Amino acid sequence: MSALTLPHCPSCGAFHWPARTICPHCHTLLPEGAPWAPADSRGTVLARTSLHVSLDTAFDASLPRALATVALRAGPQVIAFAPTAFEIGDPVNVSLSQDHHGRQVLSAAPATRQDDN
Amino acid sequence: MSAGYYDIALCAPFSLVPERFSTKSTQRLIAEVLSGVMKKARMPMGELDGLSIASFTLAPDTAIAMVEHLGLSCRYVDQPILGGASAIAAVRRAARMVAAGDVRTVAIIGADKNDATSFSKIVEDFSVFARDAVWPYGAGGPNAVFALITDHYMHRFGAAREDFGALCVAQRNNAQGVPHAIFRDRPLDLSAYMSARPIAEPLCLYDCVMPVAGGEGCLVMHMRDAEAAGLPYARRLATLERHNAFCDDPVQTRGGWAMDEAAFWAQSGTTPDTVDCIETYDDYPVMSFIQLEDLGFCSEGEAAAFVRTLTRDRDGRLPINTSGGQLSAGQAGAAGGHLGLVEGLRQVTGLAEGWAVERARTALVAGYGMANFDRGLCATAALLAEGRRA
Repeated sequence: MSALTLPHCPSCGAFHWPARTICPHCHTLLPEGAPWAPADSRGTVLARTSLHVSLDTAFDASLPRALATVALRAGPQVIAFAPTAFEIGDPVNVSLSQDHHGRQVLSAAPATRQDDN
Repeated sequence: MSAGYYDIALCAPFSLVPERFSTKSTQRLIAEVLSGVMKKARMPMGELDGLSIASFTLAPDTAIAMVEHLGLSCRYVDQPILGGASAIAAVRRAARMVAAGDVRTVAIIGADKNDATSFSKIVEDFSVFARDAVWPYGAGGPNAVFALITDHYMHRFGAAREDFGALCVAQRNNAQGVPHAIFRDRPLDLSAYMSARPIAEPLCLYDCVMPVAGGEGCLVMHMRDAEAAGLPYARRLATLERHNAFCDDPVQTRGGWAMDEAAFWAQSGTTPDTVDCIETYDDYPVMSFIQLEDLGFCSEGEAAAFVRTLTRDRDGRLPINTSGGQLSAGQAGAAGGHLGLVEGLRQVTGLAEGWAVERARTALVAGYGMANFDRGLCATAALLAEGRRA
């Protein structure tokens, strides 16, 4: 049911974030352009912030903007966009989408009961 | 261990008066710092045979380009790219080189320009990880990363904004009258700290360093050379350098200091309770707390209580970040780590330009740098002791 894909090591099976050229866990050299692999999208909020000041004026209209550090069950921790109502320890689902620059960005949403967090 | 490693002197501390924005180039700032250092040392610049430069904005030049630019001929040229950990890393390297006799006099220089756009350029292109996994999330820069670290720390250890505020207010008191502190005439009280506008919650205005144009520097040489020149100097008792420590911690609550703290104090031959003043790398107050914990001044999560137990003087000054730290002086890029080093050197040599801590004989200085993704990777520390006072 997960729509999340993450950089992945075909040798040891571990996910990592951000994308790398070598697996930080087993140090296997990763194939160039290796596809990201489906990953468990469930995670837990470790930290939150509400950003009021941006260094890029393109973001000004969307401030304040909530962010969270999320520990993914898949392994790595990520920085993601988040709703403002999160508390530390809350279960979330993280999804991947493209922003208007075509960059892959992660967003956390409240976990539903069916997600079995 | 080579006995000569314990005979290393630091001397000739110099700080530029920072400017919020400046049209000066980084090359000019480096030249101004080096001129200031050599004047303090009463030494012709041509006698330098070692140069270490830390800067984020020197490109397209490098340290070797500056050697030619400055008209030097060197046996040791270095450009540590470790952000706020660069200064102490440079001292650590230079100390070994001097002890080995491979070089005689090394200038340790940090400088960065700050025009209207230089700070956002540094942040946007800081690293591949930052470009891919931090910048797209609102382009908050280090404020966003350290807001997350601060939020996690507060939740885990029960620290409150007032705890950080107590340190920030004390530091600002320390800065009053320090000629090179940009906020030397702007005292701060706890209510102003608490009601400041939010930057990246829980961080508000007075938790965040102000980027400035500036630079700092000093010299490393053998003690006998400092003695022969009649210069006030500090001795290097110990240095620590550790990068990317505890990388499995999901959010940073400690840095490389904690990994090597025991070896550091063993090398120094002393203990934290003998330290007279502490210069943390205070890019954000949570990092000062973590350094106090990791370097053995208190247990993990206990920094707020430790700061409360320290004796303040009648003006509310604390022997932490004795010239006000970067939170009062501004952060001149990679020279932010030189600020604490130069200030610790001043305190133990009787050269303080503002508040002189009474009978300061030892100073602990910490460096920290390079928030590549979600934490700073580089940790350094140095223990300096009185050698010869002014």
